Amino acid sequence: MNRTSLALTMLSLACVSSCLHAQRRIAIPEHLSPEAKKEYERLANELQEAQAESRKKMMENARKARDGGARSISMRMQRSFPKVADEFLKQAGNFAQSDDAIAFLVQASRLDDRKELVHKIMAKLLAEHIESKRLADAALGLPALARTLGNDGVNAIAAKIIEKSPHKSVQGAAFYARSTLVLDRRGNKSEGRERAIADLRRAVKLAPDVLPARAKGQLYEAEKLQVGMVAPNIVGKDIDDVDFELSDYKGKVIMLDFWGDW
Amino acid sequence: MYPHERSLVKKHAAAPFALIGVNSDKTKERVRQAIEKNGINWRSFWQGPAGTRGEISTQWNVRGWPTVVLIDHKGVIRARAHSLDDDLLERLINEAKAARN
Repeated sequence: MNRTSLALTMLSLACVSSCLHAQRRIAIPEHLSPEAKKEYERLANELQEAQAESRKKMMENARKARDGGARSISMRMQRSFPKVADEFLKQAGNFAQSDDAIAFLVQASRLDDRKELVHKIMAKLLAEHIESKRLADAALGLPALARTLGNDGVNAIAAKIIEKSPHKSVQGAAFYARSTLVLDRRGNKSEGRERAIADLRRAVKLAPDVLPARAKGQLYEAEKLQVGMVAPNIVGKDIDDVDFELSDYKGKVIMLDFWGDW
Repeated sequence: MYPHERSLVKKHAAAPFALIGVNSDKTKERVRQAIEKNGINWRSFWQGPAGTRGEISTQWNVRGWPTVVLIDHKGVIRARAHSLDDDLLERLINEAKAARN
């Protein structure tokens, strides 16, 4: 289901509302100094309130549209919160001399869709924090900026980080961001794919501890699980703790069904 | 989805076909209940308490459920999607039958 544009029945409005509520929880970055953490938590709360307010409005509008007889209702989550972004920027200024600034800058870049401003934030990160290991967080956040800066803009920043950071983990994070931009588009057969897989391979090699848990799976999928490839074996246990393998069913057509009862 | 899967297993009981699940429920009780309640008649890998983040679904980069992968009788992946392509499955089973004769 497309999350941003839902055709809703009357009953599902309440459900969508509660799902959206459950979804948002702003993570507080690790490694912040106690002072920075306090400020970050304060702003995270502000942001959560702003998001809740915006959701409320969205739901109200959806209800109005429904009551007005609309057959399908478009629900687009607001992603830009310039006021809160400015607050994060201010704190980045207060902590400018330390790595703490990075976390504030990264969050600010995500909350603003003014292209020029986001470019400025990224330029600041590169200029003032290129020596920091924590720049990996900025690199990992790059794909989210594609909606503001476009893929080219994001790729250019990733390339600079790869070139200038002295840390393998940061370079790896930037390689990962660049690969994600291409690989996360499902069913994509573009010519960028080969390079994206090479980027992903390098990322997993350079920065295994920094990447999200799914990075290895993404690489495994790209290298071993494409349509036309021979399926790798699966070795595991069934619900009765009996060992079995996919290869036990060799010669048969297999419908491999990832399921859960929830 | 369960009724359709159940009927596939029955319909192709004699055919070169296997429906294999990779279950992502966190407890065995939950899976057992699901099996009983829905008459689930196929075998599943169980991934333990990690649930959706279990070893197999993480390695296979599964991020949406259900995910269905169709593998032909030669072991080649022919499709991966969030729903079953019934026509393709029929074709693959026919291919497998033809190869047996």
